[in-house]
Amino acid sequence: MGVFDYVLAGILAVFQGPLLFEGLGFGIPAAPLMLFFGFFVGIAVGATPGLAGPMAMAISLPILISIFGVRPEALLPVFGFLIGVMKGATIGGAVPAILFNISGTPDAMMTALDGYPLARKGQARRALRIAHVSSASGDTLSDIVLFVCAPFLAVLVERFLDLPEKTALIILSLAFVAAIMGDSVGKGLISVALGLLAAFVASGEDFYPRLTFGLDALSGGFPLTAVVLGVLIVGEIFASIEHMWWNGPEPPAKVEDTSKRGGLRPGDVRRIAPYAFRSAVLGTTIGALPGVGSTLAATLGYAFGHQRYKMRKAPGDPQFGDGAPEGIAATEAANSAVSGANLIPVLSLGIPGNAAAVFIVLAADSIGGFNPGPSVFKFTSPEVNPELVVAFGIFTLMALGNLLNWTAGWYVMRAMGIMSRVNRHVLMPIVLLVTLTAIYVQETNLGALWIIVGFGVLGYVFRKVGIAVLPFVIAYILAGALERAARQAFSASGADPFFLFSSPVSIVLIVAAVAVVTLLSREAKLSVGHRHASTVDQR
Amino acid sequence: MLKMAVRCAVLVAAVSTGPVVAAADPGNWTPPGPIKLIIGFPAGGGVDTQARLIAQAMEDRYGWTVLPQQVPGNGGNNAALAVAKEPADGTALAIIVTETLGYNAIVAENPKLALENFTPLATTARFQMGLVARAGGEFDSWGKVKAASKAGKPIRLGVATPRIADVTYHLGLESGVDFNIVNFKGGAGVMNGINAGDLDLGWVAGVQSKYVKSGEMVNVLSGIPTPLVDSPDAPTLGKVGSKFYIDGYFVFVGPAGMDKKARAALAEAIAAIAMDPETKAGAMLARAFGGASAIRGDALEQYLAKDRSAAKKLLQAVSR
Amino acid sequence: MRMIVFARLKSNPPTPSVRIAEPFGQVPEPHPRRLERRGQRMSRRSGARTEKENRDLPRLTPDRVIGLLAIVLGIVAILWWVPADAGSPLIERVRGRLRIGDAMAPTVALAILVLGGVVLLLETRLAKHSIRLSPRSLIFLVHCLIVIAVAFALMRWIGPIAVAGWAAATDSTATYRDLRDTVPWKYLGFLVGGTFLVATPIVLCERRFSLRAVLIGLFSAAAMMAVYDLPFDDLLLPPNGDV
Repeated sequence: MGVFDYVLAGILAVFQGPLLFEGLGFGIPAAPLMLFFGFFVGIAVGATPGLAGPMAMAISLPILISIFGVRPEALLPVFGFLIGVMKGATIGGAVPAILFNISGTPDAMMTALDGYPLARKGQARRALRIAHVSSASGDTLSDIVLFVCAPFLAVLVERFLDLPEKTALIILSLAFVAAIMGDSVGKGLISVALGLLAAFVASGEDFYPRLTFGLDALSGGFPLTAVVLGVLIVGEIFASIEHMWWNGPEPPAKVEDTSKRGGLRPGDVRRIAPYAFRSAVLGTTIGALPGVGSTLAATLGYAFGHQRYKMRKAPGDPQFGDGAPEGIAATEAANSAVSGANLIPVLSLGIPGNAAAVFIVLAADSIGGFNPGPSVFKFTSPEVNPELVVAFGIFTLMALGNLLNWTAGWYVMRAMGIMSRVNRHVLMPIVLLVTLTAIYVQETNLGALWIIVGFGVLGYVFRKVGIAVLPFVIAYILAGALERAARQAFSASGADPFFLFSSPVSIVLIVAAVAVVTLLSREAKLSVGHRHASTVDQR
Repeated sequence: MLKMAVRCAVLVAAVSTGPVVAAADPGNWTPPGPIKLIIGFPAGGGVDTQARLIAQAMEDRYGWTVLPQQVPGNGGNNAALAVAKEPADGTALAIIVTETLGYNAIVAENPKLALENFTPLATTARFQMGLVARAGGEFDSWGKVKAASKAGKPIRLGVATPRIADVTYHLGLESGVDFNIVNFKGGAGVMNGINAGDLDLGWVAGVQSKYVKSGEMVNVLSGIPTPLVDSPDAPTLGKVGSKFYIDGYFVFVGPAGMDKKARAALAEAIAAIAMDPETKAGAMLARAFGGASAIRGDALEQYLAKDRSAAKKLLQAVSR
Repeated sequence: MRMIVFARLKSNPPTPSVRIAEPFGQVPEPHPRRLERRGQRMSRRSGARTEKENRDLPRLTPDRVIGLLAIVLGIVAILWWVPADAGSPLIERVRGRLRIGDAMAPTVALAILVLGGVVLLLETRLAKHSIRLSPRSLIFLVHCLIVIAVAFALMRWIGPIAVAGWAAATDSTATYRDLRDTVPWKYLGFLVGGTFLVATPIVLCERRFSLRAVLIGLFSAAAMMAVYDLPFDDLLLPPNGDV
């Protein structure tokens, strides 16, 4: 089967997959329908301050698995929902930022810089439209790059990377994620180390439950879902509730401008096009690196856009920060372009670089039959590689998601202003109950709930002391693969202790890992006026 | 004397494939409450699917309530430890593999996994454990394997559990073949390794069936004492020099000291469902494992005891 | 480039009125008004500080403590914990070949922990500021854990206690375990515990008890029951997997 045969098979798998229900003589395939639901939920979640796309993915995953089961046919419907949430959340975040100057996520905060002033001038609808168009175009560009690059990269990796190089690549990814996320390389390394350690509990070779202090309850290790949801979601809930615990509930959002008159003005698209395009390219490049996310993309997109704008703006145009449409375009295109490119490392190398990719890995792990990584893109012939069909099914779903973005996205976005009225101090405990119930249904014992609460405490402590949590989760996920690859490389090399330095590629990767750690720490992030500097008063 | 002969006959029949005797009716025992079924392997796998189908059939046929729970990990040890703590009135059972209470229990050095802590109920199917290689490759017969080894070619062989690794090592020692043994996750992992070209050979316990039937793969050896259903011509481990087999069944066990009526009823129920190809469970076992095999009662206890002592001998022979 | 961006941002900061949920990788943005107030408080408390005083932070900032803890605990763990609690040493000989043992991976992870601590200490030398922790965080955490523990206890024991009471009243010998799949009993614990888990934080945040909070809790727990238990036969709500 050639490339096009597989692409076609992927498209067919999406549309001819399991049917959700049948009516009027034809069945409705589950995957596109789940994509639509996920998209709707994603926009709603993105538009609600206090919730984030990954949170919705986390909570919905156990429910989806209960509905669709753990057979390989479940893969595309479940991925459809998750992809829908991912895409919806990126455009949903712009809504409260523009209408109420409240951000659902930090990258949306940059959108508020120009979106809110524009809304105050009575052009809320125009601002939303600009955000929508920029977001959708950023998304489309990064998806196209994903479709081309992921298989290419995977094939390259498979051909040139053997076991020692694969080990070195995982080491480099962990080093990169540790160094780049958060404020401090040292803290990033601590985060990675603890994530690895947590994964190594009770996962030894010959049934000896290592690192468990002999406790029976730990002899099964920590369930993956419990750790990921604990650190990411429950930790976030604790941190969020604390703020309101001491300061009382937040006042409801003041609706600044409800005028829905006036959409795009003529010439708007031409004005914003170059900014949107540059930001989209920037966002795609940044998104392809594991660990680097939409906030940095939005920030840099804004910065570059601002530079260009200063040189080229007409005399009567507002400055950036006063309601320049180009400002909205520059940030929204960048932060949306990240979402497609974020899947490149996970699909081609099996390395999850951000929270959404983490949940894709979690879903694949729970359902089985799909192991993200280079083995997916093996164009075998004449035997069909089912994982490759699923991969092209995923691409199809992303393309469909783009279509939804351009069409239905606008209408749903407009309707979501109401979500900002939801009270966060009510929402957070509900999310906690949902998360705990979802874990219990899977693990069926209260011990697992205590494990998730324990990791929630860990996630809370991390947030308080300024340690980034995503390196912990990524290290936890990659730990098993790292140990396995290292063991196999060691055995295959005939017990050579320097197996990591056995080939030029692996040496380059190891040197790069060391370089990343040393060079980025010299930047002394703590002392420069970094926006996330540790002057945060952690009350 | 006659009793001894009958016992021997039953034992022989018990350790060969195929049903032992037609399953009797579970009688009119009813469980005092909902039955907890502890599944020792991850969701979606062969064991899990089989267990849930059997649970469903129990509910449909006998009107009992069966609530499955997943307790995976450590080759079934976690599930075994969990079921040992449950009450012994017939409301708790676990599905594991015979290897769990044999080799795995010894290596884990956990006294809670002693055979006395469990009541064996019934097996469902035997592993069709075969040494799989690509058809038409340079390792698709035992003769070719030996020749390749003599010529000094490295032979990468994939295994899914430590016991299989030990038996392979022992086979290597006895037959003079030097295997490079590589650990993979589960039979499916080994199968993927062979497909991907990372492995030359691999021990697989049933997943290889469709590939063998289509001619892409061959079973070079049979790991069980009898010929494989798919490849009756493949020599068994014993014929090529090994003193040990990689034999095993999926087995249901309960906690120690189980109520006799409960034990009989549950065992008969499992056997009846497994061996009935009309049920979804029976059909699945027939398709995936070449037929059900429901050993119960004393025969099962003797099999488990034999399996454990064989595992001890294997560990000594391999003397780590 | 970065300096330009951040200078620009500093002169026109947005004023979010809620705490922003960070994308799991970053530390939340401080509220600009609060930073101003803190600066004023600091200068009020200690009088104007000289630049030298500003540069010489106390020796044991929380960042330094974390770094030191990482180093010390990492070394202790490598020397004592891993060898005592791993099934095989760093490298072992098995089946005639050398292979990496169980102790290697945790040792490597702990080595990275030590390295992280060292790098952190080096970074704090260059830093002019550090995070500040307050005991209020610990108080909050303990409160949270108490609420959660009570909720779990309710989930676990309300059902069995209710069954015991009912059995005593009606002279039956049924236990919770027998009844854990029948309708009123299997929901009791979860309903009560779930309502408590949701309602209590709302009440504590609003600083007053309100029926609305209890109803929200009840509704959430009921919704969870509807989603997980009604359509599916085999899913277990707490505590029915534990009895």
